[in-house]
Amino acid sequence: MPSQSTMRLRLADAIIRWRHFWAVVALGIFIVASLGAARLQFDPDMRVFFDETNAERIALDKFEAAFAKDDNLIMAISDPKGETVFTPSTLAAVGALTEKAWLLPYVRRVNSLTNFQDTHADGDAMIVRDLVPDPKAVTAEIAAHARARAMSRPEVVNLLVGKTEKMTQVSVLFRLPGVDPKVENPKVVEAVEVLAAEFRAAYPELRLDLSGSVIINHQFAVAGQADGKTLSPLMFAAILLIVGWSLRSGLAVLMTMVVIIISAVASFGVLGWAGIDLNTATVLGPLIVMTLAVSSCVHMLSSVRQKMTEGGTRTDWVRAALTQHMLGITIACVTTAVGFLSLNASISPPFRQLGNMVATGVLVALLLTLTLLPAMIIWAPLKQHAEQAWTRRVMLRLGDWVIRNWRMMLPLNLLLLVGLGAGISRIQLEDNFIQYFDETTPFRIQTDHIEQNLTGLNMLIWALPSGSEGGINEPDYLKRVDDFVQWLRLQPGVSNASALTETIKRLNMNMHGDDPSWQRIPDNAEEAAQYLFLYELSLGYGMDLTDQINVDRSALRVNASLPGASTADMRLLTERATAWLAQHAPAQKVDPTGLSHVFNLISFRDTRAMLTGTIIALILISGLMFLVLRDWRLGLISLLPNLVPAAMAFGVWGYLVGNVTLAISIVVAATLGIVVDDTVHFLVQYKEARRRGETVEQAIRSTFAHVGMSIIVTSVGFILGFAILAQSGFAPNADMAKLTAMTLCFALMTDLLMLPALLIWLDKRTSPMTKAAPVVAALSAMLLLIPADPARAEDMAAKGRAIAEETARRDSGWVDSQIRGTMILRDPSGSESRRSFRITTLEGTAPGEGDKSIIVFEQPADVRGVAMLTHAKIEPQDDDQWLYLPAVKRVKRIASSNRTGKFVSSEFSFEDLGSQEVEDYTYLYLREEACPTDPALRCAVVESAPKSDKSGYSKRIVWTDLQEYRPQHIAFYNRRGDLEKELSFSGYKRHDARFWRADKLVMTNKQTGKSTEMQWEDYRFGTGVSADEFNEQRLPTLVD
Amino acid sequence: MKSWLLASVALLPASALAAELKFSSFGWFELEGTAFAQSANPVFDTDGALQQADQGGVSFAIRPSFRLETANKGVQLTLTPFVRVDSMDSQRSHADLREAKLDAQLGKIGSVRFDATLGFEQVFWGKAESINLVNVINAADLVEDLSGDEKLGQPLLRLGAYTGDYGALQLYYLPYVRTTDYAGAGGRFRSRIALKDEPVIETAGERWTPSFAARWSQALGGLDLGLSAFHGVGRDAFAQIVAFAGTEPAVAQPVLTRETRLGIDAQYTHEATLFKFEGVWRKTDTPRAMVWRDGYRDVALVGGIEHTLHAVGGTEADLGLIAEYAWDERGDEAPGLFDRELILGARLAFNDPDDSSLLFLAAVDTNNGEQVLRLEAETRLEQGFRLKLIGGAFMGSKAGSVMHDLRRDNFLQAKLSWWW
Repeated sequence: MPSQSTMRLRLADAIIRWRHFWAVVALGIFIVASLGAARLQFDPDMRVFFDETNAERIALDKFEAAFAKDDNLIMAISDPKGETVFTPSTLAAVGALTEKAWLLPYVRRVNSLTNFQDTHADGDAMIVRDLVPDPKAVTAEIAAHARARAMSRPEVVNLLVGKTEKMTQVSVLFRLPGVDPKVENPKVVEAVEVLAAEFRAAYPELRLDLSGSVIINHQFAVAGQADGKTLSPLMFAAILLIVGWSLRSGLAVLMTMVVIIISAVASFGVLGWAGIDLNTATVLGPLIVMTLAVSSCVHMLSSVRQKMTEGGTRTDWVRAALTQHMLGITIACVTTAVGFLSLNASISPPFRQLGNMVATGVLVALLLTLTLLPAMIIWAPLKQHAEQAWTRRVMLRLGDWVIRNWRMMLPLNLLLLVGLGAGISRIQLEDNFIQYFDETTPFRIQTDHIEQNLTGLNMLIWALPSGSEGGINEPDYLKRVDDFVQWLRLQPGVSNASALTETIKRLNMNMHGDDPSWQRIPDNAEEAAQYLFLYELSLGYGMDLTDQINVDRSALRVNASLPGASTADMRLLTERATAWLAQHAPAQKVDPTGLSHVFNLISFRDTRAMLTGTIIALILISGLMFLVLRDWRLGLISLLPNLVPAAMAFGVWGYLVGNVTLAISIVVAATLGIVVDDTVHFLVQYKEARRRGETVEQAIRSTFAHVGMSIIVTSVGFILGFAILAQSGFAPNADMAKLTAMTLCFALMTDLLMLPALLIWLDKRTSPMTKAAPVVAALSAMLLLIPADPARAEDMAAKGRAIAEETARRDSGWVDSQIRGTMILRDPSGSESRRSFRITTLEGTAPGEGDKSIIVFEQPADVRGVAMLTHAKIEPQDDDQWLYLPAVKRVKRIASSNRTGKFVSSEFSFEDLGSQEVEDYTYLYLREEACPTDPALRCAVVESAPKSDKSGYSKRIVWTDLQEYRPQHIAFYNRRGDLEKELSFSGYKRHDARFWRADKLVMTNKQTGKSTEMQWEDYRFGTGVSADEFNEQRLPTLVD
Repeated sequence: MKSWLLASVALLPASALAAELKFSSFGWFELEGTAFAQSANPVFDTDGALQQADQGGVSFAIRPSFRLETANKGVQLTLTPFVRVDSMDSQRSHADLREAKLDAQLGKIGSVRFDATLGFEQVFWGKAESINLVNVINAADLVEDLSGDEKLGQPLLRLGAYTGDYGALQLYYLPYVRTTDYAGAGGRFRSRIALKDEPVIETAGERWTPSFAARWSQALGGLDLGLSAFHGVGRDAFAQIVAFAGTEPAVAQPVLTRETRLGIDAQYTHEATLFKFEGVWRKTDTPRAMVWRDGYRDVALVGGIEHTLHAVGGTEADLGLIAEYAWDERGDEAPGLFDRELILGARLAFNDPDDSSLLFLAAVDTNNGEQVLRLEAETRLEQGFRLKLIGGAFMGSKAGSVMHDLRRDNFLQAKLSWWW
């Protein structure tokens, strides 16, 4: 069976070979998707947010079927300068508008102050007539009369006229046929706008504000379309910026554009072919797709950018990039798609559609990134950059920083998580559909104005059943309804509550000669029925009672307006009302209805529904992670950085904003798939590095180097993209984008700061208490079994020591030596610095006496002549060390206790350069194998552990060739037991026919990636230097 | 054994040696900019004219070294001139021969090795970080650096004997007296009283009065010990008022007299901690004009510790902490700043490829609370270029003290040097 990597290689080859085919496929997708997208229409109905199976929506539909499904329009008239609307001129304007409103399409009824059906008694007769019968000829008297009549009617105040008399409304009810919703509402709004323009021109002194459901529906449509128009260019600009900045290539930007545009069109196309209309939520789908698709492209392109530094042709880069990143990109896209697909659990159809469309777009983007993009890269005359991208250096530095400070990271992150997470409790679900729109939109300005002065769009409606056909005339029932209305009026936040009972009470009074004591519910059902019959007969055209009484006359409608009430307030009122009704009318359970109520509950319900979706997504995504990582530990670890960011983001939201719309329910699932990308990239690289045998720190370093930047770039890209979407004027979209952007911010932080720390913590600990217990325990057990054989251990120790002794023996007797050395210090970013020096060494002869040496620096020029004299001592005694500073001719004894310090900031510590005595270590022979430096040679591998606790190492593993007993390779393990440095010897030459010396030593720090190359030249042995020369008193005259 | 080399050089069979000789040149060029926080009080110069110093200036200096030596370093000829040109202070624009000398390894008699130096030379004795009381061979170049760490080249003949087990003995013959210049009226770090350039040396030979010095030093385990003696023209000048402006002294004449001093310097190194001590006993003749005194006999001491913290905070940097106390029996009459000073300092060596370091020193006079602060930061910019920033502040000075004259001289200095 071919291994994974050869399979990937084959796939990469196939992709490259078939590149023309992919271009055709991409074109095909584009054409088909475009055709689908062309079929799309925009559904402006705000009810799209409710599924037809939504309980509240069913209740609403049922209610509307029973009463009348009315779409309303509020045309609120106020006189900014005047005190009251009861002036002849204003009433004339109201009258004129009322008349004109009857001409609007689909109009069913127009209510206003002027045509308000005022009743009064004329002897025995009941007169029903317009409050202002002839608005054109209103006198001050008539106005005053109208004021007196209107302001005494509770069903008028705060409905037709504000309590302060500053505003009145012309209320228009429409009955849209519902044949073609995409045409009907816009047609109404268009006509309304013409009418409003006419009115404003005719009465410049009056202010006209428009609101109501037709306007809201329109707003839902407009907001979505506006978002598409204003955000798309921003999005393109942002993408240009991200891709351009990270890749510094115009061609790369162009290619990215091609991929993301096809992906975005594909997401539209799938909706079009499915025959689903666009709505305010889904209109942003393609923008989300673009944001997500950019990341795949950047990933591919930046990896190509990295590969080009290794030379080869464009095809080679593409092949290498494909082979290396195919899996990561696929996983990233698939998890993102899974996350969005889980939105199908939402009870709100737009979000389900959004999920499906984004998932499709992302999968198309994946296909294109792996096929079309490589093809384009091969075709495009992409410039080759030889130097490494600067970003890599930055990443390595960041990686080092994290590794150095890892102990802080976990507690800090935990603290942050707890601190921020606590904010979640402050989150309030708030689904006031008016507040879905930005305060600065004309709709909000007008609606807010109306809510302040008159009434609100927030309305709770109860259809109170009487229990029998025609039962509404029963006095008991009417009494109960009236009590309920009176109770509602006392509730905080309720500006107006009304029902037909008000009219019946008034009719009763009228029929009793306008005697106010009769303003009460009639005593028997017959009276009530008669009054209503009379009343209906005398009502003007279109003024029927069908919106107040259901068809079989078994229920009355009760309205309560709650301008500016929060969702929470409304829910509380709903609860109290339900309790009141249960107490006073226990026969039937009655829930409120109305759009406000439906919206009120949507977040509440959807949060629960999406919990299931989120869990499913989590399981699927985690399953994918296990599959990819093939490591249940890493899979488990990966859950943390996937979930923590959302918790932090929600917490911050709780602190900063508090209120959240129904978008909240989908955020976790949607972000899960995105957040997981970075985690996948990180862990896949990390695992690969570990498999190569790197230590935890090394692996983290190389992970930072390989994917750190693309994680940052893609995250920043995502964040920027969602930050742009957050500018949406539609709150559910904006909230979702804001929460997502925040989640991604925290995800970036978690992935770069917490995840590495977590890995260091879990992968390093060896105590059986760790979560990594099974693996670690197995390893520990194996390790414990080995030294269980004491005879063998002793044997091995002796053998190891023997090799060290032989090495030392062969390398003794050289008496003295002089060499010139050059050190080249390299850091991972490729910057170099050099120092050169001469070393004169005198072999220690007496037992217990180490070598003596003088190092005199020649380069850099500003340390020229600086010398260090060392009298080596056998461990654990400190060496004697003097420093000579030629600038001030000063000889200074310096502390030499610092074994681990770096010699002139190289990777060689003082300990490494000091003389190595056999007695300084204990030994353990490990094995014999081919030398790592020269496979033709056999090497003894001996572990030597320093006796001194001042040593920076726990052990060294030395490869010594068995031919000449020369050290070939040394691995240094730090005190924590991790591989810290590796030293390779090369260019061994024999001097004086006896002593082998390497020309080049390369010390590589595996933790930091820095290395130091030491080149030796001009070896001279037995120069006859005397011990006198190594006298600190003589440094000024000898070395300078 | 190698004494024949010296003989050969003395006879100058140059052509025969040419093949063995090695010539090298190295040194540095420095650009320096200094800014002062305040303008200085105007003072009278030695000619009685009122002078105002600038609030900042630029300066450059060059210090090349030329060396001719035999391959085994048996004989070395070194020439190190030094020139500084300063925009503010004509007195600071000066030249000096830091080194112009012949070093020779004279060979070995028995187990004792000998070497010698003839010419202008720089010699450093001492252990402490704040002040080196025993460091007496060279006169300080005070216009170059107020700290006195920069020295004028001293013409001398030195003979060194190294016994190994019994330490090393150096004998010095100093035939000529070098004296420091003082900052001019247009410069900074100068006293309120103008000091004449040319000191009066109250010995028979004046500048050609010979001085003698000897030092024995040895490392005994962790202890580095030095004992020294000096007899000749002293290094600390007396200021003798020679002119008045009104009732205020206006011009002073530096006077040098004969001095005998014995010194001890020691450092004990234990792991990362260094314990340091220096002490001198001095007998100084008073200037002839000060007839009421018949000479000084006094003691000065400085001691303290330096402790290095390796790899501070998990970085590669080393932090050296310095605490020293300097005490001078003369108290306020002591010529320098260190009469009753507590010196605290920290040296942060970053151990980076650019050898960057930070040094902070604070000296507090425990008598009157005067404080001197000094901050030095340096790093390598490119191969061969170093940048050094120095900041100094003189705070809480009391009228009448030496430091009072420096109270307006808080400064910030940047030095960019090129090394070859």
